[in-house]
Amino acid sequence: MNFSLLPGRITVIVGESGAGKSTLLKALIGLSPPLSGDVYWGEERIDYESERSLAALYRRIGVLYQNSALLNSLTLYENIALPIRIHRPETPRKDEEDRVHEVLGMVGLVGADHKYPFELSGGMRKRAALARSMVLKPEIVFCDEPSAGLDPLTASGLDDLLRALQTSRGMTVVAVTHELRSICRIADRVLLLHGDGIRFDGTLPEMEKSADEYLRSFFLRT
Amino acid sequence: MKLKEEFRRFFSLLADEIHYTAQFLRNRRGVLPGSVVQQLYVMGYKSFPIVALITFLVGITISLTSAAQLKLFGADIYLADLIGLAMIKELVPLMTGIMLAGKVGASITAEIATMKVMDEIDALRTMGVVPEKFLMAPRLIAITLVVPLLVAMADTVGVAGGVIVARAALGTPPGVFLREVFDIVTFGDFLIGIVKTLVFGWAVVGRRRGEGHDRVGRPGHFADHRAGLRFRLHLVLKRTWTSYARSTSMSVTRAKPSSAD
Repeated sequence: MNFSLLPGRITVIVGESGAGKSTLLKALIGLSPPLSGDVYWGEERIDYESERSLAALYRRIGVLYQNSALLNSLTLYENIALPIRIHRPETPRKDEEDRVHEVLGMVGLVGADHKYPFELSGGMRKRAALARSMVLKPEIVFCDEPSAGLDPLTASGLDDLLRALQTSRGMTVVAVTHELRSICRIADRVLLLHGDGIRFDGTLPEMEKSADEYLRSFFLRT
Repeated sequence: MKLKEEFRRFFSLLADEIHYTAQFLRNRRGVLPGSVVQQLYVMGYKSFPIVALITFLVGITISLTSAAQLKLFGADIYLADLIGLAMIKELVPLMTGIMLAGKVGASITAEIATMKVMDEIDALRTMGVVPEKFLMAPRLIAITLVVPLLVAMADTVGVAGGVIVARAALGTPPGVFLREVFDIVTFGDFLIGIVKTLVFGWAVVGRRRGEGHDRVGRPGHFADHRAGLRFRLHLVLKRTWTSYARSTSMSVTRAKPSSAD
């Protein structure tokens, strides 16, 4: 498989269970090397054996996990400030506070900074995790099943939030999902994985017009 | 072959922990401030009541069962020797080790396993945090600091159990009992107890991190049970060896003038 991400666009990776969506995502975010081939950031190849290469990658990306992955022992503020404290420990406390409150405002969680993750609803946790993924102003935000486990209304709210952030901030977003509603709401580009490669790569209108039997049956079943 | 693999794995985990702890001591970046203090509270303060209770009861039980036998031979004062040596060199390290494996170890396994399942470990990694340093360095430092304190307090409580029984069952004054304990137990014996417990503690932290991180979600997974079983097996082997070694050398190393007469 060979593809490049479009800057400032939302790319959605879809596929059946076992198609390799999560494996692909893990390779893109530097958690595990691809079984074969390479991942490039611009001209630079990501070296999965080099801590320096991975650290450089981690500074440029934000990840929203399916389970939110907020640390339960920390408050929302501490969770969101963690990447700043790790990567930019010299940041003055005032600037840190301003940045945390700014991203909390972006995701509509002003005033919840003192709460612990277990005190929040699923949708709030997802939004908080999105805030954490954006706190360092990453170049790409990766989302693993952003609306999984949420009721339709909250899921749609999260999709709208992703779309709004992408539009207003020009963020590049890569989302892995298999929820058709979500795909239709946020995707600028759809990558359908099947077998060993990409079965379809195109926009939503192109997807609707496609005569590919597998693509049509996949979305009909979804 | 499996045992060899287990040993290799255990030492590689322990080497990992020591490496990241050394990194942490050189550079605190990547670890939350106050995490060592938090672990000291969890491992020390929260473990002490159960460690104290168990060692106190063991001290009383051994004293009660031995007192009657020693009285038959008019060797009442040797109860202090028995309790002093048995508690400080063997039983307190053993009991503290079991308590640490059961309480602290289980909580580490559960915490790391939950973090793994909830993607928190991956999230730490993609934030540029080294999870091994972030999670384990504070725990290893905390257990290293807490074990000597726990052992010292457990020694005191265990011997106190002996004092109470000696007073109640044999009429031995506490001052005489304690003087006898201080005569027979050397500072080296106390240190041996600490070193043994430290080794148990490091084993608990290292192994439980491995259990929580690598084995969660596998079929038939009982991290707690397996680690506990392995730990008990290790202790049984160790006790057997110690008894054998002692039976061949105790008469020489522990001969004592008959001052009690």
